[in-house]
Amino acid sequence: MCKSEKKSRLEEEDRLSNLTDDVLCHVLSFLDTQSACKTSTLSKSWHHKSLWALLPHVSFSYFSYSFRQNPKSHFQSFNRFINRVLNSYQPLQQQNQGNKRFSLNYHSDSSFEPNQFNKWIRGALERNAEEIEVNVDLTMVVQVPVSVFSSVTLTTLKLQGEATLYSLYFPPCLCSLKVLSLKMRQSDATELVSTLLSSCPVLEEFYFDGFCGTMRITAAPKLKKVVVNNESFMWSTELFEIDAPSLEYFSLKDMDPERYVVKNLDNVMEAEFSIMLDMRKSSTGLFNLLHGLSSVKSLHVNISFEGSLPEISTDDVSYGVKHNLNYMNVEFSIIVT
Amino acid sequence: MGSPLKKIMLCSSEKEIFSVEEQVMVQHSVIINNMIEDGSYNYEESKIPLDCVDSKTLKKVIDYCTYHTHHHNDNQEDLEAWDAQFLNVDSNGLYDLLMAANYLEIRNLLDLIYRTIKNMIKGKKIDEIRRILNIKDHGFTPEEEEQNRKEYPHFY
Repeated sequence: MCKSEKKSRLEEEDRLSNLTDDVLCHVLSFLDTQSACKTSTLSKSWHHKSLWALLPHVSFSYFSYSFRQNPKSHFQSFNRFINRVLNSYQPLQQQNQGNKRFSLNYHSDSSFEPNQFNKWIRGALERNAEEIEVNVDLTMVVQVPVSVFSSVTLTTLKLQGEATLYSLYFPPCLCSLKVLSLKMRQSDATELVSTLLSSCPVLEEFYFDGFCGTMRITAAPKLKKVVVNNESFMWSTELFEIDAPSLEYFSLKDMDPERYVVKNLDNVMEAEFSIMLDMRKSSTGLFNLLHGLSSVKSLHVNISFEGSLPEISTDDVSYGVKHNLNYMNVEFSIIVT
Repeated sequence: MGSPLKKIMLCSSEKEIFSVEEQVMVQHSVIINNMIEDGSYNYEESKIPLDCVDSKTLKKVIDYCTYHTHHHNDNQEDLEAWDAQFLNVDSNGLYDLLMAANYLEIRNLLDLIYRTIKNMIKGKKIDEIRRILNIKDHGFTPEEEEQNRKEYPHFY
């Protein structure tokens, strides 16, 4: 009696720690990897559980990592921490259960080591990662390991920052990839982006933010959502080509390209365009694009001009798409230089 | 969905009876919703026994469901402020609520509790988390504790 009373009093003390591993794992899954690891130093029982190693997601963020006075030592300790976590994973994980998501937010100075970075990503791939998300600070140029582009398990790939896609020496194949998000400032990315897109047979969502001379979104039979933000306002896009029979949502922010090639956009329900027209050129391309959207229900168009207002009316914009339209918003704006 | 004014009886582990608008519980608790839908609840006689939920906790759970039923149109900020006040309890109180919400399958309350526990850990130092979770005896030897402090100085 006395013993059980004592026991229940002890349990009273720290009942949250005694929740089942399932519940605790669920709670920890809301945390970044560092905070989850921290729980192993709370008490012996948390230490034995090492629950963080059972979590399906690893995420490291340089900014959430406790700030130390000395940036150099902060950086080194951040690197050490990632290495330690990734090294401990393998023996603890059950064989079929890899890290499903690997996310890395990185910011660094000159002490950045590309080899480390490549090793982490390759490690995530070896553990059959399904989602890889890398955010690197704009001051860094990082080469993404080529093995990323031949992963059979990857369903989501997000590369943000100055991530560089070097020439792919062998044809990429991302046979499971459903979401591709690229944010980059790389003037020669044009062909690489096109090649990548044509090697993702089941791709459903594509996001692009950056410079691109030519954008070719073709051979994408399953693509449902496309968001392209082409910031090449300094020079005009040469070609914008799209052929996506399953596309439902299409958003494009671009300077009016020299040429549009539009095919198979009959399934687009919602479209948003923000286009800057160059009045020295004919604007019939843009209208070809609009007219390709035969089933569109919601259409938002923002057309901006440099200089004087051309003779374009709302009717020109909606011509050919009218019969299914529920909502249309057209804005014209003039950029004063 | 039950009619709005019908009442159902819930019975806590101390055998205290709580009478609650049916709609309030049906909307939030998957278990109670199922009982009402499959007709296993008799309005004349039934009391739903909640043997693992004490009166204090049950009262709080009912408060939560009642408030969220009648204020679901309030703006998000007000609701969040109310939730924060509602969950301003010690870790044992939170544990009881978690168990009750889990038993009754009240998903939005469970989610809220998970997020609250997460916030007890996120961005806090080890000593602070130990205090919040009421960990009085961490069980490490002084040497192990020293070693941890040396290895992960930023945790402490």
